[in-house]
Amino acid sequence: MNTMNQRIALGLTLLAGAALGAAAVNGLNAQTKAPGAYAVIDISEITDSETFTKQLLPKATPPVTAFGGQFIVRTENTVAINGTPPKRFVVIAFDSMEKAKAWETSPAQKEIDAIRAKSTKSRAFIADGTVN
Amino acid sequence: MRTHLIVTIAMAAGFGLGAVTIHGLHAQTKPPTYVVIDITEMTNPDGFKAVTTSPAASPARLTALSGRYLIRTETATALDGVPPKRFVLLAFDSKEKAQAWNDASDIKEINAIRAKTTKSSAFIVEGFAN
Repeated sequence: MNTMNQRIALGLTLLAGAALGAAAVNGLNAQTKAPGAYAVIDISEITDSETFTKQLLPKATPPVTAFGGQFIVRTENTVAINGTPPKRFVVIAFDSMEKAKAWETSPAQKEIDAIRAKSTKSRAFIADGTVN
Repeated sequence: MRTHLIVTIAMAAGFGLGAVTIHGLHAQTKPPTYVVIDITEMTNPDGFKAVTTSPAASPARLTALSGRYLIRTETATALDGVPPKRFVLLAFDSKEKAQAWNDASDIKEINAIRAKTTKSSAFIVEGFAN
């Protein structure tokens, strides 16, 4: 009987430990990052597909990575809710507005922007992230 | 003394198990999905206020629908071209969650008011599971 009780106690301890461990990791995952900043590239039409595909696309990622940016959207698959969706849509997340601006003003990015300007109808802007 | 040691080991083992389980649950995520709301012009600013002040547009309501605001701004800075007057980016864990947001009756209602009081477009895009 005594052994039985000890086993139950041990089992309960293991369970309690599991719950604590689960809560700890869940807490880590829930820790939201600072709101940061985003760059949005909104392409309504690709007017020169060859230039865009061969000159722009192969160069687009390194400058983003260099400033700690992350592509969170980079797609030509959009589902309209209302109105006309873009042909291609890109959102890049940065840790801060400073990083986003440093990316935008870098020579490598300026070159990409120039290729985009001549091969697409598009616009780009930066926006602060929001705190929920 | 020995019992204490066993209890401590059991607790530590449990902690590890729990941590691994939850970590696994989080890792199994589908690609995140985003809703983009791009407002060129508020044609009826007073009418549009019904959208921004609606409980359906509150972060709490969005949380209840498993979404969160990434951007909700009227101060976008142009890099080139004309920036939107107002721009909203919502993030969801999956396409299904984004669709459920769009299908909710209170969301449909504010989207309908937005369409009437602004020049705007809205769309759903799949993101990267970075």
